[in-house]
Amino acid sequence: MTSVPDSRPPVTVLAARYRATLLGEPGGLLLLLLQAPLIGFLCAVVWGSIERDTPALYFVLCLTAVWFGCINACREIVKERAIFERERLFGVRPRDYVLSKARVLAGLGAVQVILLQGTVEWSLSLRGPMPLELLALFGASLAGTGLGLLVSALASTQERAVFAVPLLLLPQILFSELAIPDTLYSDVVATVEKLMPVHWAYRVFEESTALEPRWHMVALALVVLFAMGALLIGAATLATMPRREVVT
Amino acid sequence: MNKIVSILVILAALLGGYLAVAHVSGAAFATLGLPLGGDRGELRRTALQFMEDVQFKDFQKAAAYHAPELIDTVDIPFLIQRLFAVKPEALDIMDYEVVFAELDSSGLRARVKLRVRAKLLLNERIEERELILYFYRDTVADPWYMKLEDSLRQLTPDSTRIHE
Repeated sequence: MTSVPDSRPPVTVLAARYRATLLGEPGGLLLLLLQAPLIGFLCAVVWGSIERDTPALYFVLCLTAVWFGCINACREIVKERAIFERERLFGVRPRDYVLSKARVLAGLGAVQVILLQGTVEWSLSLRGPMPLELLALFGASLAGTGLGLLVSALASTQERAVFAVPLLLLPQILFSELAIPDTLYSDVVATVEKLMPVHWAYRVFEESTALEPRWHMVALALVVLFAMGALLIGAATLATMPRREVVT
Repeated sequence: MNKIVSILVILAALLGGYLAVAHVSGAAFATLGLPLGGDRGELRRTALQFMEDVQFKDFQKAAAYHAPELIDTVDIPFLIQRLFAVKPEALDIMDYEVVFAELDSSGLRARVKLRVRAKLLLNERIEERELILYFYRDTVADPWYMKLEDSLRQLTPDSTRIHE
């Protein structure tokens, strides 16, 4: 019996294989998916007690979306480094490999943010257009995925990658209006805050729920958010390349 | 051909799943014009229709959500004035949405919380108000009636009680 060469692009083939791997572990996948309605339910309980949404709820949703992306992705490269190194010798390019991961994880992130916001909206309708807010959460999840893949590409073991996730998420809280009012920011804090994906996702919520929304700011925040996601995935690709290839 | 059928089946399943969730949630999600969501869905639709009538200053129709014997006595413009502190003609209701709808344990009383964004035309200021509409019915087979007087009633101090 002869095998027929797969004519699909390498990214598609690798993504299909990765998807099959994830679906092959339904328990793990279910656990990843169940996080979203669980956190959404907890948000609904807390904010349901005051029967209204507040900026803190938007921040928690944005932070959760980044967390989802990060935690989904942080082990995905490091855990199969040996396999990837072997496949790279047979012509699998780091770019295709990382993009295949990002593609599947983006899909997983999309389902998670829909479940997260859906659970909150079930009991408490958030102000502002829901599709726009979903897009912001998806952008945050994508940036988190990029961050997670970068960590995974740089980490030497799975444990170290998982350990790095809280260290990446804590600054998202520290450099935010949740810590101190933005009027009190020093220049450094104001600059660092702009590097945080949560900040831009939160800006989408903040602007679109204002009494007089500035839609150009919403568009800008979304563009920055998705650009961050793309840059981080690009950085993860660079980190996956062998040192010599990076130098030349 | 098989691929097209598979895609159609998946789309139909997704749509069916979404509509099922929308129904169970009491129409917390858009129902695509379908009468889903049970009592909570009906209450949400009634509240939104009421707000649309108020938005277009159709106060006669807005009063029609009350019990038949009360319709003639309901003074919607006065109640609106009490809520926004301006006369209805100086108010432009721009946007409104249901925050939640809930029934009590008997299923005979309900409340719907709304978020209303309006422009005060005298000073061009945009304000947001939250209001709760209360509904009741005598039996589960009866239609829902609004108690707008209760929904917007301001508390007046009882002179026979101590307030300090």
